[in-house]
Amino acid sequence: MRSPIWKQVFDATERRASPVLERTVNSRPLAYALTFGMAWQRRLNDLTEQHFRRLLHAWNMPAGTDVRRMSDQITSLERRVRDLAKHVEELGGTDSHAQTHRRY
Amino acid sequence: MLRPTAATDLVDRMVDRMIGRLRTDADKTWRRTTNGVRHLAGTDRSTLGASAKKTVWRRDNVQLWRYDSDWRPDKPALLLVHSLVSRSYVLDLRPGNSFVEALIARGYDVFLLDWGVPDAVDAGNTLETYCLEYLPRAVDAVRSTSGHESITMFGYCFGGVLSLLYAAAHPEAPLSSLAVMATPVESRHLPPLFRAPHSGRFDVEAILDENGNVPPASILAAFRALKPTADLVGTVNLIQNLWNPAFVDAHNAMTTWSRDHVPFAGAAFRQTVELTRTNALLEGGLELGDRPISLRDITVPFLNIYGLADHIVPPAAASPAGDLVGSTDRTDLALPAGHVGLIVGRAAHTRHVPAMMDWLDRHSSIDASAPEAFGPLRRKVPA
Repeated sequence: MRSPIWKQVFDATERRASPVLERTVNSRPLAYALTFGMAWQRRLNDLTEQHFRRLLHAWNMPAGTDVRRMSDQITSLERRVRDLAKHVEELGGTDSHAQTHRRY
Repeated sequence: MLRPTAATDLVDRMVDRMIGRLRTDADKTWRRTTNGVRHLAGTDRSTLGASAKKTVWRRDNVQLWRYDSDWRPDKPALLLVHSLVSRSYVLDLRPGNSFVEALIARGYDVFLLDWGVPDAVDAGNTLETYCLEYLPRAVDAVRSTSGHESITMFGYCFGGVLSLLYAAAHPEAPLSSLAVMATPVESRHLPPLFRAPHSGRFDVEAILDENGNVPPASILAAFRALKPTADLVGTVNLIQNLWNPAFVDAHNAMTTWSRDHVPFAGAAFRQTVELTRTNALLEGGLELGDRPISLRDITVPFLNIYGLADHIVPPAAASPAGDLVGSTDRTDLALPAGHVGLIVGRAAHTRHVPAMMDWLDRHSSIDASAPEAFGPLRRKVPA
């Protein structure tokens, strides 16, 4: 069954535009531009954060970086607990599958 | 000249045809409207990844699922290893359009390793965590649960890379065969946007979120950039076929999955960038856990499946895999499909998946079984 005319027009346009768009989006210059854009965005965020941190700290209030630092500490603690649990599991041989087969 | 009766017949036929066409159009418009309302309200979403399964092993966020099946003693246990950046339910998308379902119907004892959703604690997961910690234990769990001494491993996309690294690091691994699908091994042929991080000018840390992982939004943006018009084309096709509930259902399933990414563990991402920058899978010089490994140490029967229309992992990036392993029995299966079209869709289920299963059948070797181990898990698959 033939597609309606509007669909035929759309398909024809898309067939022509798609390769051009793909080439542009996947070109090296655009990839580098995106990379630099992201780096600059990060730098800008750092700068904004720095100013707000000073302002908030002047009023003895916690800033986002303080919360992040605390979250990082909790994560690192969780990681250590997980590692310890695995270590205990290995020592105690509580891994049921390890008992029945040699591990590969 | 037409006789009066013949002329009347002709007019009648024309009127009938016009009425028939009007009826069809009215019916389609009505269905288009109701389906459109349902689609906008989001009430037409079918359940994805619905095949019955049980979790047989877990560690951290990683889970090993075993699918309920009608066990056949001549088939081995099959471990599906999924990618790290997408959801594993693409392997079990919808009833009637599910790779897992097709494998079960063929009698395989199917296991799927789901990596879960990495959180801040998982940001430190390296390729060693996946290939030297999780995979060996998952393989053990498959063996002890199924009762089979050796298993077949099947890696999809980046899961194929993990399978290759695991098999290379464990030449004595109990694998009866190894299959990888849409697996990138030649990074020079990956799309430019995927190669950008390897240029040396790319700040890997800039892409990581506050948890230390690559956020799903960035992964989605990278995939979208490969086919900038894909979303628009999908929407236009949906509008045209809105009257067809089967099309709408299939469209919803695919768009839901293709937008549903998981974070990429930061440490593994840094290693992957390095792996692709050095093109180490192809050039050699691979290291895992400070130990040199070589894909040449993989000697089990090997199947490399890739799509000739794959725009994510182009054929040139996937096809060399067979030449890199040391297996004497190796097969390349180049199929006229895209990245997901290898396992999803009508062509997949009528041609591609049966071709893969034919190879798996020919390379199935059963060396042990323990029927009593299957008792509680086995049940008949509904017809």
